Amino acid sequence: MIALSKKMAGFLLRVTNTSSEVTTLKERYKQFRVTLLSAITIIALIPSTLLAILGYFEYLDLAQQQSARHIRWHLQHVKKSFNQRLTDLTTNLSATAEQISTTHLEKGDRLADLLKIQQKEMNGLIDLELIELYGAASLPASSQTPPQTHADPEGPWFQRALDEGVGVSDMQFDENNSPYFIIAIRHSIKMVQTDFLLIAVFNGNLLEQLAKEINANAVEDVFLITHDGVLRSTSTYFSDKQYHFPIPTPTDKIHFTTTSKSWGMGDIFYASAPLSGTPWILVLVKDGPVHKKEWLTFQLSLFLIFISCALGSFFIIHQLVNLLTIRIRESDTKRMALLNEVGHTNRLATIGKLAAGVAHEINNPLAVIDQKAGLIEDILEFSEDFKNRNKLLETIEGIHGSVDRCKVITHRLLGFARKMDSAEELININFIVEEVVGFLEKEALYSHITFDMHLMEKLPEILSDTGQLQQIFLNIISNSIDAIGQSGVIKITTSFTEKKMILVEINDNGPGIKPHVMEHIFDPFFTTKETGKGTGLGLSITYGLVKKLGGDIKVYSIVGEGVTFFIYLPTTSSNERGDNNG
Amino acid sequence: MDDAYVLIVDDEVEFASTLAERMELRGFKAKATNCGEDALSSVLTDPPDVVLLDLKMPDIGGLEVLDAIKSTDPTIEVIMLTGHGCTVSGIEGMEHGAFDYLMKPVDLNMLLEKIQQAYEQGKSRRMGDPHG
Repeated sequence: MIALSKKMAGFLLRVTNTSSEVTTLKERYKQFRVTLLSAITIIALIPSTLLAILGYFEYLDLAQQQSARHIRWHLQHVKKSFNQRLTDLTTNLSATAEQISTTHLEKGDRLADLLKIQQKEMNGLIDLELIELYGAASLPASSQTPPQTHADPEGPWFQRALDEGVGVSDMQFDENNSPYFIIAIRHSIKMVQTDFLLIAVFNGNLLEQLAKEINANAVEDVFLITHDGVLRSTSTYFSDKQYHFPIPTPTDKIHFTTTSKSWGMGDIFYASAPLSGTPWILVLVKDGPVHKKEWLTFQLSLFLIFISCALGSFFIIHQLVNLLTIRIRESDTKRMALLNEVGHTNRLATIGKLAAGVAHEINNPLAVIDQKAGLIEDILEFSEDFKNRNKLLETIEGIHGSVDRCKVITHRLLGFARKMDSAEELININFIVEEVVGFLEKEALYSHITFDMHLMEKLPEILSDTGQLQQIFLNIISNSIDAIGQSGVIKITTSFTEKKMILVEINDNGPGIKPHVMEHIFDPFFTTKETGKGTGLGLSITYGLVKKLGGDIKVYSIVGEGVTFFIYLPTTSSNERGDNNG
Repeated sequence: MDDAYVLIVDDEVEFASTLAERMELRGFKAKATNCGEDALSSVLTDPPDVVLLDLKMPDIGGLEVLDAIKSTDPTIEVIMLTGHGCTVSGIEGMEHGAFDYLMKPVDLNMLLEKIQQAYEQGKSRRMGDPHG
């Protein structure tokens, strides 16, 4: 139980204990990417969203306007049609009225004959009646037997017929509850100057028929209503049960109205036109554009376009943002590497100065030791032989030897520190190689690493910078020492190539470099050493230095056999080469 | 060479005294001083033939002492000793009239050679020069 909890604690600790710096850095870039992505996507989508919304409402508006125009036109058309029909009827009746003579007034059966003839012409004609105006006949003539009369002096149609010559009655119902309506024509028998009213009784269904006839495309709902809103023909919108037309309609003028159920949806257009000379109002009902197929198609297209735009933009933006983040990250890394390099150089300079200070401090007591030993030597030289004289002299020699060794070290250290600033001078590469090897020999020896030197005699001197060359060789040879670890040989060869370059080959018989590592070997921050043991900057700085000197550096390795670094240095100066930073 | 008088100027006491002792053993007249002031007063009172001058000293800098000596008596030859490891100050010394410069820790035989050369030069200058 305890073991388990310990195990869990350990696991949690390891998981959370990842390098906090790296996590923050990764998170920072992720956050940056997400923020940028969101921001750009939103900004990019705003115009298209606005356009889409604008388009939507514009289209809706346009469609509605179109509908309204259409319904206006159709109403006019329908009204004209109806009036035309009505005029046809009244014209027919007028023609009929022409034929009326006094005999019709007297004899009902004559009227019946006329009726029969006219029924062939006019559909729906049920009855013809005659009422003499201002005449002796008191009973209206009727074509029916037994004579029927529908004449109703009270009806507004009656009065209108008297005044205007034509009167149309509203739909009425007889004792059988059959609907009928009347068209009355006022006419006169020319011969006798008798005015009469020709009353034509039509079947109520005729109205229905007329309403259907005039509706040309049958797309809209066309029907007739009375001034009170009672339906006189069937409507697809308002079933027969619903006898009253719910929308208030003016009786004196053409009227358009729409009811919107909600935003642009379910609009229904109503157009009404009173039919003059009749007690009816013509009503047109039309669905708004919303229900049309085009509207749905439009909505779908709009939606699809918007979605594909959005997705497309998002995808592109996503890729771009990723790219950008990568670039920025690269640039940040490069900048850090550069800063590190500068810091490194600064540190080197500081170390150099420190070393110089130490060397200088040591030189003085060294001089004292040397002189004191010399003095003892002098005294011994001038004294007589005594027992241990030779032994003492030998010992003094030892002291001198040690002082000389110290001298070499301090002078070398001072020489190294001195050359920190860039300076071009005539240099013998072999000398510098030997100098650097001298530095590292002792340490290398402790790891059983020896140096095998093959320095070309009479190697041409070149114009270059001592400090930088020292650093280059120091880096490479240090790397070789680290690579070998224990027991090995570092072979250094200098030569002069055909292309007039000095070639320094540094070869070690360490484990070698694997191919996939080889690609990155000069990359900054790249190291195969465990964390804390190497900055990964050494070779990248070396590469930079070699390039700065106008040379080149190549590496070759066989895994298991070792590594060889090839350092090429030009024999021409930077001025002659015409470098940018001359 | 036996009558050569060498003045040693170095703030490192042990070094100067030991060196003086060794030179005496070799037949030179040698005196050790440890600061510029003492050196200059010694030059005025008892002028030497050759001066071994340390560059870096606490009170007056080596170069200043060099200038002072040269203005007092240009025939006195000065050999600079430097622990700097910086050839620049050595060259500077030469420009101010030093005979040569050596780096510490100094090899005695080489030093004696230089002193010999300096002495010869100084002597020949004194010969050809009415200034005494």
